[in-house]
Amino acid sequence: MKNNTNKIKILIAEDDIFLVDVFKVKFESKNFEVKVALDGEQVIKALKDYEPTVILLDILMPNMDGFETLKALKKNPKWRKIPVIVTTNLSQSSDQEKAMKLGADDYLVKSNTSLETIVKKILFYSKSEEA
Amino acid sequence: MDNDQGKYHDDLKSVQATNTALIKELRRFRAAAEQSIEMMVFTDPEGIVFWTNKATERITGFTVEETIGKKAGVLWGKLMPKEWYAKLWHTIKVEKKMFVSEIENHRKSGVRFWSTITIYPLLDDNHEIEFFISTQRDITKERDIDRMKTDFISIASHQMRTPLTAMKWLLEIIANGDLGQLTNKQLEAILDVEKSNNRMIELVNGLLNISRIESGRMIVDPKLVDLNWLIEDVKNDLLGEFEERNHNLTVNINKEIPKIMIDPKLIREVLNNVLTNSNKYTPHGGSVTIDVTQLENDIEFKVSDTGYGIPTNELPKIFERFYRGSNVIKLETNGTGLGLYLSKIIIESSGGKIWIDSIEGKGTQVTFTIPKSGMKAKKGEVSLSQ
Repeated sequence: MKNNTNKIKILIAEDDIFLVDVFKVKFESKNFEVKVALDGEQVIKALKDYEPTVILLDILMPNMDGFETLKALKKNPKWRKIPVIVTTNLSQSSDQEKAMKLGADDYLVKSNTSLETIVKKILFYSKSEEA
Repeated sequence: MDNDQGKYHDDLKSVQATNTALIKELRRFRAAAEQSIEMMVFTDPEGIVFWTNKATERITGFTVEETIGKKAGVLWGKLMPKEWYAKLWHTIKVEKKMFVSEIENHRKSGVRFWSTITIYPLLDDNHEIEFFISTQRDITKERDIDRMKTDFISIASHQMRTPLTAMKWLLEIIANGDLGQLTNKQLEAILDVEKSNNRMIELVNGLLNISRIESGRMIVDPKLVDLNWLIEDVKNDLLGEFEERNHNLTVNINKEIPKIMIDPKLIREVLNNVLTNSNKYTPHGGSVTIDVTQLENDIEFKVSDTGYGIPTNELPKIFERFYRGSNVIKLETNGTGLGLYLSKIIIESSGGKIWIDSIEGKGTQVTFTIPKSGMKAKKGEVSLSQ
């Protein structure tokens, strides 16, 4: 990344404010920088002047859902390389296949995943991003 | 003469009486058939309609006049797969037996409807088909209600997931000490809450899967699968859990076993459920064996364990949803009672069979078969939780 600090920057796309708060507590304790988007439109808006290391992307969101957001991200050459970890409660294998086809790097079902696992995935994708 | 005439007169009277009785009976049956809420259609051996009742008009929208002299299928049918019609004609025309099924048709307006259908051939003294009688009951409403029920379970369970996730993560943060150090007692309590929360999540996942599979809208996507690979993969997934309980897990599978067309996700779910049960319900240090054998028409999977077993009187109930063996509920609180139920639906809808042999205190053997001909593809709308 071009930025001057090595701080990992997470863009969280999540419409459930309660979950956003929990994410924040955990990620800030890991010294990650956190920015929040409540739907896909806000993700696109945020990316205009924010370069996250990793995007955490929910699927079921108002206005512009995660699938649409993924499409938009992968269409744009500037955003295409940002790793996207889908964190959703859509658990069907068909949803996972759809997201992976659209270019998601990982797919985690929230209720079956610990925060610690999400942190590990973020660290993993931040490293592959640097390399 | 007088006597003869008298006899003739008497005979005539008795014939007339019989006729009157017959006509009376015919009228009764005719009225019953006319007024039946089920649609009834009589056709000749070629399927040309010669009589229908009022319900037929009410349900299909085609009047009696419009129907008579035509083939019923031409008017409101042709929506089922070819094989379905082939099976129907084979059953009633070749085997000359009753055919029972569910069928989707369309009304005159084009709107589709579902009904249960029975068709049976009426045979003459030479065992030749005289005509066919078909009765159908419109079950569109029942199906809609069923769908609503399934959708409700699905939506409700799905809605529960977000708050359950929030709880899961907050408990994790607290247990981790991120919000301050806990006393041992506090930590113990938090871990107990975490366990309960995880059980609830498991239950919600189970319910979602059940509602999807019961909806009949499950995608079946068969691929040519090497069973050696599938078993190895499932085994690797569960290895950690088996090691935790110190079990010996053995696989006996012939390397030459033919590849079969199955949906690996569905069969994996079955293997996962059965193996997880064996792991959970076998005391530490036991052994679990998977045998895969080729039979004449099927591939047989057998999972045997040296576990707690199932009380004999409970065996008939073991595939019911939410049922859990009375001997293990106390030993292992974690469990939803949905695994075997789900497995049974998957196997039976794949054309296979599943059964259990068990001796309490000795162990359990779960056997299931899949036809070598494989599973049939189905375009659905839903799939299992991965």
